[in-house]
Amino acid sequence: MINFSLPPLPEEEVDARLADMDRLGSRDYAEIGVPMFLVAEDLTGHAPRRIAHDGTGRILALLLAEGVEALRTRRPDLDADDIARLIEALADRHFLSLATPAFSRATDLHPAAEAG
Amino acid sequence: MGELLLPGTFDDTLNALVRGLSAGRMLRVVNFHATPSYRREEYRRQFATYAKLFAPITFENFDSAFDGTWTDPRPGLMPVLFEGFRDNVDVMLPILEEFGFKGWFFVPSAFPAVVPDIQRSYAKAHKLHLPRKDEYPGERVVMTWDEARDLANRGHGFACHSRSHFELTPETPDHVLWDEIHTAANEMRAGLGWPVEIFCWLHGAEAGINPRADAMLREAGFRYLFSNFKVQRLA
Repeated sequence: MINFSLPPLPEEEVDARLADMDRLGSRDYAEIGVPMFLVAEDLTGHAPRRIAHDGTGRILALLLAEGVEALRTRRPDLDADDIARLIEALADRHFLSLATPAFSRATDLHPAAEAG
Repeated sequence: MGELLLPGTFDDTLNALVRGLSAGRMLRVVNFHATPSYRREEYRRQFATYAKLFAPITFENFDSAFDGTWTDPRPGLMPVLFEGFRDNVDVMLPILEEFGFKGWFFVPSAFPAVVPDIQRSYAKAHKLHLPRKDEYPGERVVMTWDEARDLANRGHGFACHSRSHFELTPETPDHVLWDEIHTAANEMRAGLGWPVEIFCWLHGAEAGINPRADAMLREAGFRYLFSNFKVQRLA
């Protein structure tokens, strides 16, 4: 079987992400809007319903796992605040981009198809 | 160590988040606190952009947004406004309504009843951070229950942000929990005219940090717990 695992993040990229987290953490949270992704979890004991999704969550999951591993190379003892800062940085980069519709479904890009 | 608590190990939490995200079970929120008028244009531009990409999460569709059965081609968006500040009503509400979004107001239930003269000192004592510039000198800085009822009647959502903006710990005693949960639930019900189903602690403790609190939340009729990384359905 082919091993598709990705190589570790280059040191420069880790530095850039850490700088991003520091920059975001220094903002005035009392007055600004901060995008976040929250995971929905059902504790009622009902079997989770099958859901249709577009893969966005899987992209975020991979980015989160990758970010944690990269951060661990610099600081092995991570805590809850690090998760918060990582997700906040992911949301800062991807909140808007991962909401953009697929090229073929973006109606403003295909006016002829819309008219037809 | 920071302010945020986890119910288990770091890796337990990470695994739960990775599994949930991978399954597409997630909610997109934008968290606000104070919304002073000198940032009005900034907020307006953000919601103009959100309106092109997202559909509003409302009281009616919250469940489907929660469990991933959302059907709108655009993802849902939930603007969350913490603390119940007056500028949320004066500044943010018109922007939300201009762009068709519903705000979700997370209010510490004791805050609206604090008399105007001491609202600032109450805020300071309870980690309720007012904007750097006071835009209401000599006046109240908290929304009134009349305003809250009006917002609720216009389809905006409310959540109980404990009674006193309280930070849960594993050791929080039962009599304090009772006040922060049951008294808060009663105050929200009295203030709005109907019960609220969403609860959130200061610093976003999730289920499992204090199982006595989790049981009491269910007992008080709360169905959802918002935390730092999750929205958990309790009942």
